Amino acid sequence: MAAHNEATLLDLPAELLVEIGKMLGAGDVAALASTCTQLAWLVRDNMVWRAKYIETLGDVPPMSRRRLIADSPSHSWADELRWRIATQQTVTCNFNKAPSLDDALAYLQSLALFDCMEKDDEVGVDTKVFDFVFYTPGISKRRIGELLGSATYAAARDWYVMARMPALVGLDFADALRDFLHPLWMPGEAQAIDRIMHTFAKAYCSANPEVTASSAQDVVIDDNGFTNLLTVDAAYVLSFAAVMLNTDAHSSHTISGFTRSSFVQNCSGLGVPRALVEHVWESVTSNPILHDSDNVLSPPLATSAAHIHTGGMLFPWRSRFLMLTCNKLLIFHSEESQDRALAKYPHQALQVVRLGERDITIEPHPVAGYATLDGWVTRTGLFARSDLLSRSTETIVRIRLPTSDLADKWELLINRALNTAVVEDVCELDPARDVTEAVHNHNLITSE
Amino acid sequence: MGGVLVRAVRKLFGNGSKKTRLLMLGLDAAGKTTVLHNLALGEVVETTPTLGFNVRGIEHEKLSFDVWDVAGQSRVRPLWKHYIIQSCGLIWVIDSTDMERFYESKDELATILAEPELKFAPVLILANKQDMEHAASVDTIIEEFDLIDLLGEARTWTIMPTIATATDPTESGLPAALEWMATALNTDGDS
Repeated sequence: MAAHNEATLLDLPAELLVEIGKMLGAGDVAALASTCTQLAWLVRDNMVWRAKYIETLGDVPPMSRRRLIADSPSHSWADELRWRIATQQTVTCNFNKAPSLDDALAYLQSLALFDCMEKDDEVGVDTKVFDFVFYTPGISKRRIGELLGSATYAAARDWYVMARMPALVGLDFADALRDFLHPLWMPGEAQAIDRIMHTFAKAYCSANPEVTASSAQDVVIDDNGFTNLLTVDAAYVLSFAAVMLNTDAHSSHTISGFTRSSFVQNCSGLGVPRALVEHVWESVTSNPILHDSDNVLSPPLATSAAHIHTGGMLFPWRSRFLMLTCNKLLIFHSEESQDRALAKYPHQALQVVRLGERDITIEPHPVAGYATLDGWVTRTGLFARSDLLSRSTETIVRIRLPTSDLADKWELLINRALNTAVVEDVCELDPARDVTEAVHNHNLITSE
Repeated sequence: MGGVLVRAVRKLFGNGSKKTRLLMLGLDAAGKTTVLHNLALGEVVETTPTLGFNVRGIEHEKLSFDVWDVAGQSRVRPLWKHYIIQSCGLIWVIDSTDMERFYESKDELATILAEPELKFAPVLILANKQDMEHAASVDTIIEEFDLIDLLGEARTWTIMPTIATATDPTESGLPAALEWMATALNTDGDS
């Protein structure tokens, strides 16, 4: 039992517990709820399970299913999640086995898994179907490659540019290409490769404006036909050349035809920067670009995408973040090191505004003397990187909101959240894995 | 004269011994991948194939081929130059059922044939998907594509009906096509 002068989890108001519950894995909600009668209600809370649903699956159920939840007391969000995961396994299996891509997409479209509001009339496929294909664990990577390479589904490629762009920020060309191709098995047909390389070029250039020419006037062509800056067109040519080189150098079916000088020579006059051609040669010849050994999508990719949909924005959750919205304190956990996280944060994409003193001030504790605290304001609220906050009990985060009488309450909540060991521990867990496990193993959760 | 050039090119790039590179082209959905797959039947397929273009090594009694499935927009065509220089033969695959795109296919073929490096390369045209009901016959294709004019008198070329999906080799027509290419290249090489 905590000493009387220490804040504990139970001191938090119910609304905040719900918010914390939303951040936990399903198994942990169950575990937490079973420790204390005052917390037992958490496992039955529909808001918690609604968040689990969105987090796990990256979308909300279609209207027909939502109505079912609202109307039927015996069908909760937890039931819906369980139903959906079970369905999903059948669906991915059928999708992968369908004789053709068209059949597979038509099959998905025919299911009642999606709200069909954004249906692309030209090809008859809902854009939500693409979400499903790109982000559902168990989807065949060959199918994803097929979809991106297909002449029919251009919308899927646009979608993919948006989804993969943030991950390419700050990466060098060859690494970005590897990263881009990682979630798919690219078909070997030249036309399909052509389309996929176009997609990559768009994503790479919008993610890395500092290496891309902003206008045609900026591009200088030297005597050998090389340029100083990359353009979308050049990125496409170069990525195509990289795939060619990869086949040439590493396929067991062919003799190697390229030498360093012939490769560079072959790329001259195509409007690509020479340094990048050399870089591609170095990277590809020393380290083949490979298909991933898994031939189906694995859960981590799917869950990082889930967050995209919760806020309706692109945001790779690669660092530990505290997120303060108008009525929520959210704690996110990270997979990657802190220094990469900042580099990958696409400020432009989020329309991020630097924290202004007028609105919110975050001050270090005078004794502890922590120098800086970084934060951003987005349309969903304040983001403060918690790796910049000390986790020691001395850290105080002070938040002043000029118009709000809730400021004091917020300050208190944040202090408590930071100082409560329980919160610290639970946010290390992997929500996606736990939800799936819990839904399968803890049938008792909703039977109470 | 064509033979001399082909031989000179082979000598230059060290392909003279046995290894020959063939380029296989055609519009998408013409059946190139199936042709390639069936030509290379019996070959060990890698469980995790190298990420990149479809390419197969094919052993023939007289020659061994590297067949590349190449295409792409005109913007990247210069990239194939390196292979075109080293290539000794061209396979052009036509979807005989897709008459609406015959013109497009003919246009593309003309562009490729205009490459100076391929000026004397033997050309094998496969009128694929002959098993389909509405497939155009070889004669129709020769006429529609104006092949006699397009390929000229100096070049060694032929057109063959194929069914790339057929499992029976005689029915598919592919072994005969390969045989033709081997002979064409060998004759060139010996002349």
